[in-house]
Amino acid sequence: MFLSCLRIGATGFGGPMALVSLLQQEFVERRRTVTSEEFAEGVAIGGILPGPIAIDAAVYIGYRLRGWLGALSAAVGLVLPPFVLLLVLTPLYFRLGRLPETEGFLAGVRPAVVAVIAAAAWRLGKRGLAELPALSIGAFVLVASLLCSRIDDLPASWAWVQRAAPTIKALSSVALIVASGLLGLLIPRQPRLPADGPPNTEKGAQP
Amino acid sequence: MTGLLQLALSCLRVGTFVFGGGPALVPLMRPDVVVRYGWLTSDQFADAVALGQVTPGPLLVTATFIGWRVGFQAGGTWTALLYATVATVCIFLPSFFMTIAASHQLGRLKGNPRVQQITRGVEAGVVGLVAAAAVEMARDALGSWLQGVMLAAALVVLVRTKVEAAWVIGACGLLALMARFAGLLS
Repeated sequence: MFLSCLRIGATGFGGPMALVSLLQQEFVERRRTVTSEEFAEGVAIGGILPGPIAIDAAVYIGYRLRGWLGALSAAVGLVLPPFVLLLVLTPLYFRLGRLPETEGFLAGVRPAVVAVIAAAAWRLGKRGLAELPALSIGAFVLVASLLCSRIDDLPASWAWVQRAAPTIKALSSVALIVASGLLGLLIPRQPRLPADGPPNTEKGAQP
Repeated sequence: MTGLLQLALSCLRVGTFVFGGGPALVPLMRPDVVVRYGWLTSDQFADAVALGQVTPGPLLVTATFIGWRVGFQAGGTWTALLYATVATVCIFLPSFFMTIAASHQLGRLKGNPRVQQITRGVEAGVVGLVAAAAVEMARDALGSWLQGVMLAAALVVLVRTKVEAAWVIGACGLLALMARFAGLLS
């Protein structure tokens, strides 16, 4: 379990769904320790709970197979390779980040990262904002979040707001997530999402 | 020591609320890291996300970078190692326990219509948050028209094709480097 996850953690480039499909190849197709139904359940859990979907799914599988030890080795195995890599790259970044070559490179990296985040919003939005109620929640949160981070631009007479500004900025994201969950309760229920539908594994998302 | 506690609490909070996968890390973490505690500049935060993106595995390992930085400022390499470890453990811990707790309740959780409604509400809200975070980052990241063009081009490539983010990030970096040597980018 640990070694499998270690290998997947070290080779899983390309975002959450790439990791999920690697996990599926390893545990469902190659080692056959998990049925595709169980795997789909893990992915479903990962979709409901916070955290990276692949880690949640791996922890679920690990826990089902070997209990706490399995869950722990799945999580550690997946996270260890990027963790070690970051431990090497971060000091390197702070040592070399000021060189003109690095600065030139990073001047292009930064807009690209913004594009990656914007593309993620687009990708999540295609699925998450398909209906009008969801779209209005998304729009509300977008506007509210932008307002919260623009608190400093308020007129000076609003000093009491500005004093709380760092706290508001830091907590607004959490507050908005909770609020959108509550607003979600107002969305009309949809019978088209069967509780035990066919195992919807991530084949389609595989590039 | 306060720094370590702030870091741990911040990562635990992010780990508890990072619904919808890695990119949700940005709206949750950036206000703490860049605005509230000033651990990283806006540029450094963008670079940290880039590193998290080009390395294998989940984007949440950006926490390792942040932990390293905070620890290194506080007391050198070994402190940095400690802080980086704490940050990484704390950001993954909440969802780890939630997954194990949920695995006993899976049937009830998945079939529950209220859970589905809440999940869909949160999914929708996260889109708004991530979009807002992109706007915020763009305000700080764009220093010249060329960077604006790069952003737009990268966005088109990412949305329209299946090219992986790491390649787009690398390509934009190389282009910017060439542009700087050609005198197009200060």
